[in-house]
Amino acid sequence: MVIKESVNHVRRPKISEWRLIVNIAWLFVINSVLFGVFYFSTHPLTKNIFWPNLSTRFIVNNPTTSFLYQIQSRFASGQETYYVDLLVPFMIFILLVVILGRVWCGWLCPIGFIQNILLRIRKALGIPYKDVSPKATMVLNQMGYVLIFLIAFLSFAVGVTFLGMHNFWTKSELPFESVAPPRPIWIFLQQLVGLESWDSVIPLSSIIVAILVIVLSFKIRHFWCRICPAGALMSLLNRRALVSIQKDGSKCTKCRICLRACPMDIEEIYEEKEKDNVTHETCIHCYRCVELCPEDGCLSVTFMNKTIATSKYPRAPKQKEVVG
Amino acid sequence: MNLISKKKGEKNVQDEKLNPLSSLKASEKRYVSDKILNNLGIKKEQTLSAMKKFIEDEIKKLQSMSQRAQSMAYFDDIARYFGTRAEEVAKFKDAGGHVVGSLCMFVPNEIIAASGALPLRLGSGFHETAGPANVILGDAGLCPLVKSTLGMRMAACSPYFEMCDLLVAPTPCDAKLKLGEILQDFVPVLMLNLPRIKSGAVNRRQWAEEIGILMDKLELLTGKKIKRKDMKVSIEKYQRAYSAYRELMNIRREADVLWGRDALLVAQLSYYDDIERWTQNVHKLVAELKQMKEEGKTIISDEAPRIMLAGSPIIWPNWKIPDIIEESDALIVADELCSATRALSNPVVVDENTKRGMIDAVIERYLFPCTCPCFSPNLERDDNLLNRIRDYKVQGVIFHVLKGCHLNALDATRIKGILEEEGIPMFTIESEYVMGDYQQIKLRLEAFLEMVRAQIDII
Repeated sequence: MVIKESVNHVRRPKISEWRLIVNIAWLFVINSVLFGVFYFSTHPLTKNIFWPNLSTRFIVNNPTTSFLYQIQSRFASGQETYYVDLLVPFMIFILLVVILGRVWCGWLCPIGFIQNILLRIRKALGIPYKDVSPKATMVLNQMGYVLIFLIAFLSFAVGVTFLGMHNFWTKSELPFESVAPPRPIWIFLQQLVGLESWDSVIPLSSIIVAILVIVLSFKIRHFWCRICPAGALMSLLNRRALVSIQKDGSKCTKCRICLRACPMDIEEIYEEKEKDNVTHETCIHCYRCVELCPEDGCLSVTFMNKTIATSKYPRAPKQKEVVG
Repeated sequence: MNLISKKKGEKNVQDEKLNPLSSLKASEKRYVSDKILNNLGIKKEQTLSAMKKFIEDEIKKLQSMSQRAQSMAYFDDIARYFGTRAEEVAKFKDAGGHVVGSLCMFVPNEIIAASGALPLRLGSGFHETAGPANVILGDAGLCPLVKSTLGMRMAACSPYFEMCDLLVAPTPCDAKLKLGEILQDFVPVLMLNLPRIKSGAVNRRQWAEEIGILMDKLELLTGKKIKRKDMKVSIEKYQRAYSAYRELMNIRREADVLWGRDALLVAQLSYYDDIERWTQNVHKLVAELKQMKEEGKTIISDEAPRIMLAGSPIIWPNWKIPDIIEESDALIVADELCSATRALSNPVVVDENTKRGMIDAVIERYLFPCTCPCFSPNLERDDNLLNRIRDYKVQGVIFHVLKGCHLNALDATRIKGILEEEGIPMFTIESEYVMGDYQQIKLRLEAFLEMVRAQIDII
């Protein structure tokens, strides 16, 4: 995705298209069994594979889990180990997020992909999105941390037997799993393909949440990403990730295009004039702002200080031939 | 609402009281009564012939420039204010089309074009028509652009003004505010309350509502709803125009092949030319300039000072200052005038092709990236100027202030300090439309250009 310099024939970064391709490709990789392409589950090293983003272990042959699952299962397995076994997943999580930040959300997350698709369908139908006020955006972003706390606390409570919580949740049915939206979606898809029997149990609560998420994500851009607990965890390291959005404040005309384009309603990229690194905590790295910014070299995506894509003046739409 | 009959031909017999646009028009003339107009004794024919002569003189001056691009012939033709273009607009109007005039660059042409009406920008650059307005305005220090535009309507000298069904008047400054008000004596005027403090969401909402009113009025005027597809077509039309002008700017940056006066004229004619034809001709001009560049032709010697024009609008055919600069062997390489580059440099970027998405894109483009001095804060203007100075290797800035344009005069003070730090000489020149100050301006500008030359020699 290297953009060549050309003065008269300016090529714009087609980031949205790339994102869709990566989204689909990654979906094939992590859920490869779903499509019968290949396995990576038998080897002990790859058996317990997990991603920082929201994934699901309810894939028949080849479960992939999320870091959230690791937290829950380690906490729920009791205090005998003093939770030392959380250390390795935690370090892997930090490593993965420091490298890619919330690229995990925008480019590699299956739920992010579903929201991307919903957004594209809505666009194609010409339905406007629902505006979220800055205040509501802030509240929604804090929701993720509340969820994280609840998840950790409830799992912990399940593990500590004398609290009696294990009567409600067991290790096979962890707190977040009864509401996590990926679970019913993937099980349903597998049922469609015939990998899963139609009488497998899906908690009603998670079906409701999944439907709500799909409906809301249709009308509100990337709704789930705003409240996602896994995303909230990644937010803590997002600013320090090796991938970042850089801004040259002197080239900014404050035209608000980046603000309008941002599916997460981030104002910082628009407001910032001084700082170079404008990666916001909640930024899911979709780079729509970089794609649409009309000022040459104002916004750019960098990985370890290497520029990957830069904003460019838009190319004019093609003239349709007039008949008659 | 079925207030306007949608059938063809019935439009003329509709009851004027039912026409919601008539509510815009003042019931009686508040500023310019018929009595005043008669007492003024405006000699329309004389004024008209003086205006035509003025234009012809200017065009002759332009045509006498050395190494001038051939493709400019088209623009010379359109530049004749009373010529082919006026006839075309009259034909359009006779065929049942609607003409919507605007007084400032804040009026979104895309939306007017989407409604099916023809957008025309009607700021006047004629000094001949400032006279009659002087009598009723009672303020000799008022901006000549406003005086001239008002006088143009009072003397009924502009063919475009006469054909206007609706005039859209944004209110960036005091003079334009009252201009819109006074013009209500003649045409239905829609005033747009421009938010002058660009602090974000609140102003955006206010501006969006103002443009919403404009859209309602346009829909009433044309009797047709603005659809998603109309918006898309008209936005793309203007995107092509912006992009063509951008290419012209790029070629100007690479080689000295285009006179600044020509560039100003090309930009200016997008005001009232057919925008698609204008775009095609800009492409032709760019192709010719590219050829010139490849052949190594330049229009002026490399030692000529590279000048940037900034400040108040310079409206055709008031080419006094550009003429003086380029006749003194300097080249205008760039400008940041709202009558030229500023009006065309920001593209409309649509995120979502929904109707609301497109309208949002248009309204934000017309308000937020604009660096009109009427805004506060207006720090983007400094960055914008500095970037252009860097890009076009500008060696001196001439900051033009129309007499009575307080906002630009105030910005000039700030900008001068900033440019001083960068080592770029800047000269603020105040001018009127009338030719009385020609010699004085010439003397002062030549002295400044000499100073720039001396500075280049030292470096």
